[in-house]
Amino acid sequence: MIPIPASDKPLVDTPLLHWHVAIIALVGALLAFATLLTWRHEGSWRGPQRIVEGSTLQMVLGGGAPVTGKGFQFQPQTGATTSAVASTQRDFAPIEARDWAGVRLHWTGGPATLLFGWLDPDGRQRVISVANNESSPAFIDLLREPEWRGAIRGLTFLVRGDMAAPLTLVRIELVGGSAMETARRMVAEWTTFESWHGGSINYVYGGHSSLASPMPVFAALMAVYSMLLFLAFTRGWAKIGNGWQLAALLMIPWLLLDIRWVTNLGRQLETTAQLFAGKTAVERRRVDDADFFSFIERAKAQVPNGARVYMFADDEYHRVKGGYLLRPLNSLNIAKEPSLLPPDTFRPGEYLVLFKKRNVRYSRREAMLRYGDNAAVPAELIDLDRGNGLFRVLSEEERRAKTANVTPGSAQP
Amino acid sequence: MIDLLMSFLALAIPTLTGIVLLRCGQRSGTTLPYGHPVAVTALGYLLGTLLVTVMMRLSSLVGIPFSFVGLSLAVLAIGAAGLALTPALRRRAAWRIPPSAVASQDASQALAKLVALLLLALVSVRFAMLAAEVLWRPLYPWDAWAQWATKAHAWYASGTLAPFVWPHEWLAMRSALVFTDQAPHYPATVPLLQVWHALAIGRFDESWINLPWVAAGAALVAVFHGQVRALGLRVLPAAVATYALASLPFLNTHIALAGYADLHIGVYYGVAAMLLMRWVDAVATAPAGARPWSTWGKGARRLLILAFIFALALPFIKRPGLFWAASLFVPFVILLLPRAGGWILLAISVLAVTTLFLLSHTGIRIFNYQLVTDTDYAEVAKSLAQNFFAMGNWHLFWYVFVATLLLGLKVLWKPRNDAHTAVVGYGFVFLGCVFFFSVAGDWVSDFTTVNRAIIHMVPMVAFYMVLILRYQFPEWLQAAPPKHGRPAPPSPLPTAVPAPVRAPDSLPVFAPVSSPSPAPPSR
Repeated sequence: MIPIPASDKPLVDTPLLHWHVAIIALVGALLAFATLLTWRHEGSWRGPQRIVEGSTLQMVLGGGAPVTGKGFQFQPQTGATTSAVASTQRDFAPIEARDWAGVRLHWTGGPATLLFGWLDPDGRQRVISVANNESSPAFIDLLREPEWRGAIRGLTFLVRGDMAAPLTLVRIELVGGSAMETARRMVAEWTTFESWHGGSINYVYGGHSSLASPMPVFAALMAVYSMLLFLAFTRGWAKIGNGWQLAALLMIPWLLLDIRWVTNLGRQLETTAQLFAGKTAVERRRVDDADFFSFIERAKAQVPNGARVYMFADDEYHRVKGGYLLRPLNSLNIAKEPSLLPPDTFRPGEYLVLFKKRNVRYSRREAMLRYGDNAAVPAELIDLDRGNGLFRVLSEEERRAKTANVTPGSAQP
Repeated sequence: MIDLLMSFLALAIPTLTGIVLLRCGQRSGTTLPYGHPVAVTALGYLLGTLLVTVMMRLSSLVGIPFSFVGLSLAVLAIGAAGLALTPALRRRAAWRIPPSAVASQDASQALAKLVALLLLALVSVRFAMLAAEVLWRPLYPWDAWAQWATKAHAWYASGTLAPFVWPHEWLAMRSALVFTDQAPHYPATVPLLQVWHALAIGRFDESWINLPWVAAGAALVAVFHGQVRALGLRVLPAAVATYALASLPFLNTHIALAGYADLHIGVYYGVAAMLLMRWVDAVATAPAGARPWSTWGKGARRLLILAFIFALALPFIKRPGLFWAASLFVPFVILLLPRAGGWILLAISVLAVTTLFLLSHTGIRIFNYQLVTDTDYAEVAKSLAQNFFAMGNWHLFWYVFVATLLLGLKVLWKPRNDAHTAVVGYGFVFLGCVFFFSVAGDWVSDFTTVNRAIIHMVPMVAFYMVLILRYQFPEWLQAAPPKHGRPAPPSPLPTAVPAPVRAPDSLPVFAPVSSPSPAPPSR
């Protein structure tokens, strides 16, 4: 037990005022940020800069040419959508991705869809688009790109669209990872919107998924630094006049984290409202995957109550979700089994729902569903919609009766 | 609008019955130890909801199809029986909120009250946001529709608890009334809650059926606040602790993306543990010579009984609930053997860990978890650290937990804290064994199991932290002692009015609010 004598009087001669505590919290925050920045930042604090002049690029595809002193000029293709690519020369000295935090593109003319690309260490070309509404110069945050890594062996600039006038790439400016840039990136990562996803609810990133400089670590450091400063000012633990001032130094970082989280919740709620608010249950389901939901609803309506239904799809999501959406029918899906089950599994009167299922053929003439290595199930096609089908399993007698008077034809779900 | 009304009834009917059951047998002029009326309402909801699921099971057993009216009447009939057994509740005065329950003990601290109100208002705003998310978005996360609502929909449509079997069993049989899904062995309680709300609105609506998640989350927060206030905490620290619990992102996410059972396990286990810990507190502050079981008398026994009702429900919510329920027996070892209890538990823990370590070489399965030896301990530890301290799951919760342990290192095993520490320790030993010795280690490494396992413990750990900090900083956290010349402020949770008599069958359940530090143990 920490001895704190019970007394109404402050234990220090001049107790800290609340605004003193606020300043301590601020200093703690700055120290915490600086600590995290020092830990995160690599290379020089100012950061390098490198310019690749547009005029040094070479044409790879489409029409265009370097213009000395101006840059690389892409010419519009008459009567067709322009699609042109210009790249750095073969003698481009590889650069280390980690040294470069972003790229700033300078151009004139357009408008057109612009893309920036690079050659990764494995020789694969990676391309990312510049935001449509960007005007020159546009900055691309490369550290957010997971494929921006290792030795970069070349840079590419792509132009697409119906161009009315030539577009000139003036220069590509590689921006090094200055401390300021890293700091900006840290804040950007903390404020990255983290939306819901349809998978299992196993964790919350709390910002960007990279976890390069997590905000909870900043908040914890802030709490520790400010408390240490506070204890230094109050000349020791036992002389704290107001315990709530100390508690506030823990609560402020907690609140900062919570403001981020509630803001994220608010943005998510806005999205959710736009997608679902004011809609019926059926309309809400269609938001997710309209074709899939509509097909399953149609299939469900054609299966009598009490019938057993099998749900098959190549994709696990469609398989499992389909099984659920078919409820309250008595449906089966096997999450980890994409193949159709052996023919002897199915009994006459049972139903098969096939959604986006490849390598399955149906013969109307034979009333036979064929799949895999010559597997076949006698079945009647109940519904067919864009390659997705609902089938009823037939007995051999039923199949013979069906095929006795059927015109030739086949369907491929 | 009709959906709103019916959903309200689906919440109100069990709540009302639950409140009556909580107060069953209450004598005129006495108050009960559950805390503030809001906490009582929340406990009533949790108890009444369990009762609804029990009635649904019974209804299915005797072959009566589910119906909202029928089940409501049955639940209300039980409430009416409780009312009949409790004459005191038939007076209107018994349902008035006592002024003492709403008045602040430290009313002079206007600023503290204002900040506390602001924090609680922020909690309310958060829950409004979570409720909107639940009511707009249809079932979304994977397991919600792959493993839980599959049952609810089938049971709603069939009007009974139709059996679920594994897919290979389903294939072998031909019955139209036997269903299957990915997890047929999962308990029925959570899907039954969805069925209850579907019955209320008359259709299986993928949004309205998820109201129990908002209600359970809100009930947890209300009960937590009620119990920390019942410990004698001032308004502001109680509000801060409540806000901290309510703000946890992973907890919020499990409310907003409703459909999993983990939240319900966390709520029921957390509430059971809080009630038990408060009972343990009452035992520890009992007068010298009194035996623990003597406090099974008036007042305190209600905490214990309710704790064990909720504990009993845990295995029926999710299978690990069995292990969590077992943890609530741990304090009795300490209470019954005050000197040797701690050592016995430590020995059992070492024995259990050693046994599991040795058994892990056999590869056997325990509760479907295969024991393995190839766990990458460093990887598991790194993943745990990332999830607890670096990611946004828990704000600073685990930092504060570590700080609390460090600050309270000397008092964790002091009498009355020792029993609380033992329960929390049990949880960590249990999860540690699962994470490090079983196949779940892989699921920790890929982040799939960490937080969904720890969420079960979080409300209980939050309450434990309050208990330890209250022990450490009573002057700051507990209500100020009454000044001379003024009547003592009424405790929000007295066992009886007038002042409690220290007799073996009527022990004070709570430490006197004026106590500057916890009373020494008397076992």
